[in-house]
Amino acid sequence: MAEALLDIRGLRLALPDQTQGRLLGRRPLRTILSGIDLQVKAGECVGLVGESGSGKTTLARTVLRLYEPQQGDIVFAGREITHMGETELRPLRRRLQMIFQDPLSALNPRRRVADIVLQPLLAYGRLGESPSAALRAARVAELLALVSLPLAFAERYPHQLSGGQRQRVGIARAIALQPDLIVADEIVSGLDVSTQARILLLLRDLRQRLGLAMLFVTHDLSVVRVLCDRVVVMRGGRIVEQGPTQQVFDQPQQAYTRELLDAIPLPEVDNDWLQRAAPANPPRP
Amino acid sequence: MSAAATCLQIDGLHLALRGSRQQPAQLILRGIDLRIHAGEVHALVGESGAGKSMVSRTVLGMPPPGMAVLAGSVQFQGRDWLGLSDAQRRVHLGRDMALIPQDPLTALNPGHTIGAQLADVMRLHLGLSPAQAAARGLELLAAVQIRAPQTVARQYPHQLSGGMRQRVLIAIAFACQPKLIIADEPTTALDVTVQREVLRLLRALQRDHGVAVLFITHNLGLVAKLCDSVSVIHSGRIVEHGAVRQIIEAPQAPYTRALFAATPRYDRPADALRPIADAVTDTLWAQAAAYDAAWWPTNSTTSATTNLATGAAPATNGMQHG
Repeated sequence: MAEALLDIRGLRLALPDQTQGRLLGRRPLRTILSGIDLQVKAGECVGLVGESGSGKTTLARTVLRLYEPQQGDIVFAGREITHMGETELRPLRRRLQMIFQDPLSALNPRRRVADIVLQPLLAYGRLGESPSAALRAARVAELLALVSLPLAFAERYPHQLSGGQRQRVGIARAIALQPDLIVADEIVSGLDVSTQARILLLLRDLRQRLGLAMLFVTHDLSVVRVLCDRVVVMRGGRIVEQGPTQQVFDQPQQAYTRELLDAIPLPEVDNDWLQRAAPANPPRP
Repeated sequence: MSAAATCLQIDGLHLALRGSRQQPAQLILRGIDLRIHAGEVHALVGESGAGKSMVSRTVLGMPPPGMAVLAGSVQFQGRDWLGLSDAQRRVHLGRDMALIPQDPLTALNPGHTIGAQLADVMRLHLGLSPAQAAARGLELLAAVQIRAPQTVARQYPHQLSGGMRQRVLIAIAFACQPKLIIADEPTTALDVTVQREVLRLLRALQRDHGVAVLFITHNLGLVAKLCDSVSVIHSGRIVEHGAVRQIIEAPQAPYTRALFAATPRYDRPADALRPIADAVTDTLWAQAAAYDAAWWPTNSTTSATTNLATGAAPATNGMQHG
């Protein structure tokens, strides 16, 4: 039984409340996440689902240590990173990568695809002091092949690519440093049906080939079924249910999970479905 | 259903992108036929680039810059719709034909209150006094189940949640009792639970007022749950159309079948997902190319380009197509 790659215990996070005025120069804090226990094993894909405002994106960002929690522990690859400083975090960040929702804003518009996917390798000195053109080209070819992009795309700029192709560049950049864990936030929600299916299958393939663990944030439970081993359902900053994907979807234990599943429009004619609409949006804790 | 009057009828609609010295004019819509009965919700399903938004923009009389209608007709309420001037169409737009856009934050004016934006459309089209329009606005907000209409009417768009904004747009669309509403992916930005609530509301209002809806979407699930009939669009052509149950339960066209297989479902095992095979879409694009080759010579290229270049009134019935 391998130790969890990512182990979060009793996490609580509060952030300045933007709806409140300043008090002595500071905004009062508002609790966003509380009582979070979450483990991701090496090579495992965990789906983090919930409605907007459930805290799923905030939790993903806390895992990346973009926020520093008030309580609890985050252990990544055996190291406690809960309150680690940026200098100490830097070597760990290589192993902890991110894929963003909107590749057009996440990719530098003035750089060619080749430079974008090489950037992480150069930043971490992975190609040595002054890499030869041949070495650079070889790595670019390797990375583009991994995400099934034609080599000719290396010379293009992000605006010359389609949405699906851009997302492949984002994925290539994230896997360049051979990370252990990738945090992916709604990376297939903006895509067409056919593009989405291809990207999902690509991610599944990469996970198997590279042994990647993923924290896959999405509001789309159908996507989770395709990709994730386990699913974590969040609501109002707390985890309401978690378990193996198939088990949670076939026998949801919580009323909220059932409600969320029922709200997904499956392509089947069901005249009562609209009538089962329930008032949503729970108050935050 | 067949007894019901036809609300919108599109016949042989051809839309083209203006040619230049480097590039010849290019067909975007290749003979779209579509018929929506009064009180019917008709889905236009397709992926990006299929032309579904081009259909809706043409029907709204606002094809994108550089594009023009080369052939075909649009009849709205039994009248030639494309033959009208922009000014004549504007009399009907917002009143008899309304739009529920995709993104409520850009569709609503950030500097005006919700109440003022609701009142605007009724003062313009129905000639209501400010007081009458304000009172009717509150009724409409209540009809879209906004709990505190008085408060919301005084608020600005940024103060509302996404679901609330979309309800406001539905209220604006229904304000003048239209005959046709064009809903362009109206719920893509919403959570699933909010989406269902908004659609339930749209469906209830549509039934009560007997409004026809052209529902543009890429989501087959929404088609199944909300719509009466469907047209599936690819490469500017309708590849299959029919009653919703028929298309959902027994799709005939290979592309429609592929679209279903490529849609992930939480109730199916992970390996059930099949991306759309290149062969399926390649065949459709090859058919589109063959169509273009057959169409252009019979419809003089020169007259087509002059038509586009001068921005002349769109040809409606005059041109034949093959």
